[in-house]
Amino acid sequence: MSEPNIGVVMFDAATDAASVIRAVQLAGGTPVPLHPKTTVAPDLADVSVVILPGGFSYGDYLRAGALAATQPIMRVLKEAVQSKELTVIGVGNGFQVLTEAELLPGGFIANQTPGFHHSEVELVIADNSSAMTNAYDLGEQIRLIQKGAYMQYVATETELQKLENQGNIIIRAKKSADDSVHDIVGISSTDGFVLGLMASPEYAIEEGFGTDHPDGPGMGVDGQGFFVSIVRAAGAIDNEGVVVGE
Amino acid sequence: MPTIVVEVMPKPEVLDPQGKAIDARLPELGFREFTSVRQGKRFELTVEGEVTPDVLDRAKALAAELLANPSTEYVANVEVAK
Repeated sequence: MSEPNIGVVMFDAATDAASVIRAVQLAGGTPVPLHPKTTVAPDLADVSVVILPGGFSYGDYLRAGALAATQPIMRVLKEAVQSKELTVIGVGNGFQVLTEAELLPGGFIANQTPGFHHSEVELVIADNSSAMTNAYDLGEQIRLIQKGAYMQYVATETELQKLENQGNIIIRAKKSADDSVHDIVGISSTDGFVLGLMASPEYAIEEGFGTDHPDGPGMGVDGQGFFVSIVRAAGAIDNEGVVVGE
Repeated sequence: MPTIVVEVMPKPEVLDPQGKAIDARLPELGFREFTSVRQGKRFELTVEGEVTPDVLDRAKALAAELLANPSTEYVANVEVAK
């Protein structure tokens, strides 16, 4: 298997896009930058997975992710997802974009204590069959950075029950850091083609520059598995959106 | 030039951390008359020319499509500013 192409949407001034591109490369993928104004489906011809990176694109002024969700590429991605030709994964602000684009249920409101928070959180892998978690063990505890001012996930009781019943809550907070309902940190759509993670795995991929770890500060690289999962998935996604094999 | 005002509020069943943070300061400042605060948003849309019913309908469409997110918010009011 040659290095699978992973699309990365270059939303204007998204601060994490360069780090996501680097993380994809280190995980063995070939990042393909995509312009947010593209409406040309051939741009996606050789791409089976697209990442929406985080980083406050267009600011949080209206709502986090609201203006990015109106960019032309989102219509192209929505059509490709609906025809099951593409998997789209939102990281941090990218997850907010996916809820604003109504590709994932629910939405985000201000942190319980309002303001910008930047901290390391303990998360638990609740499903390791998805395109963003297949390289982790089920129940594995990982430590990632969470940063933002609107990280509190909310949804209607009906939506929450559906997420729970269908097993679409993929990553949970060990101890709810931002008080999101049901400790939700990562979810998928019913068919598994759209996924969102409210954390920044791209800042836990290189020893010395990662999260806190018993081996020393910055030695935590638990975000590697996220990108390895995506690269694996991109090389092995069948047309039902299920990751086949290893 | 006339202005259309759009007001967006957090849905009643959704937590409003900003409003709660303001609310928590009130007793110490002596404002004991108010039992809760909810914080919303006000948008002012400037219109060139007359605000016809069609223009007002367009403002309502914009409010529903972009200015409010139905998952967490609702459009509380759309009216021509006095």
